Amino acid sequence: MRKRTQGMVLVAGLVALLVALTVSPAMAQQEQSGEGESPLQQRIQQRWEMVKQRIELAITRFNNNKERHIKVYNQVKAKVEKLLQQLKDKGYDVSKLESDLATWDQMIRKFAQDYADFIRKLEEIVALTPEQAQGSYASLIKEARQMLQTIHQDALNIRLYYQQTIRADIQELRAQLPEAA
Amino acid sequence: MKDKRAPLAGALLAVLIAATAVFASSCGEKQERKEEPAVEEPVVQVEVTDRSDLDSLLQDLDASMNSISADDFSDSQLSDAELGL
Repeated sequence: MRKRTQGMVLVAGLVALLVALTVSPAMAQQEQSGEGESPLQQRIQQRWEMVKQRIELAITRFNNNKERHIKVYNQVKAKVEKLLQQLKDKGYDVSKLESDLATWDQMIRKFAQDYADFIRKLEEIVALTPEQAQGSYASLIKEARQMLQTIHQDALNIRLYYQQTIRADIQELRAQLPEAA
Repeated sequence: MKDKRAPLAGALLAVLIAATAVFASSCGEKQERKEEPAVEEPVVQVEVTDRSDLDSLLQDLDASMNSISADDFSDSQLSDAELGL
């Protein structure tokens, strides 16, 4: 009797193992292919993946542009600082240029900070699941677009300040310099 | 009685020594690379003694500022069309 019970347990165990081995890969395949989802859910998933990829591409493009902008700003700033130091050493009054350059530097820092906040927002969007995206995407992308407008304005302000203030300061100093020999 | 496994053990030892030597040399290579001097930032050269020097500097600065555009961050860069919507 005891032997019979043991035999039944063994057989049941083997059957369970066989079923598990047969069903698990099938279920995994089904999950992978999204067969368990409705066609609508599949479409939402696919569409969200596409939007995410586009946003990731946009992040890469924005990062490249930001690097170019920061590099140029820093190059220009370094050259103006050199000029400032040279003229200061020669006894010219460079106080206005010095003060305006500090303001310009603050504007560049604001641009970099606003940019970092903007990219964080885009990364927040990319991290959404399709379900979360259905509820949050519209408001988050709206915020991101507002932040992009701020960055655009920052870049315009930096350019305008260079043209109207930094450049004008340098032009004023030009008048103090001797004519070319 | 002669141990038949001796040649095999010898061969394995030789392979192990060779692998160790290759690994050590590759580490040394990496170490050497690490010790290479880093590429230095270009030194900013500005020498202004008269107005023409300043004019050249202004041209240089203008060219730098004109090489970038604020439109790199315009609305269109994140429009629905750009995102394929």
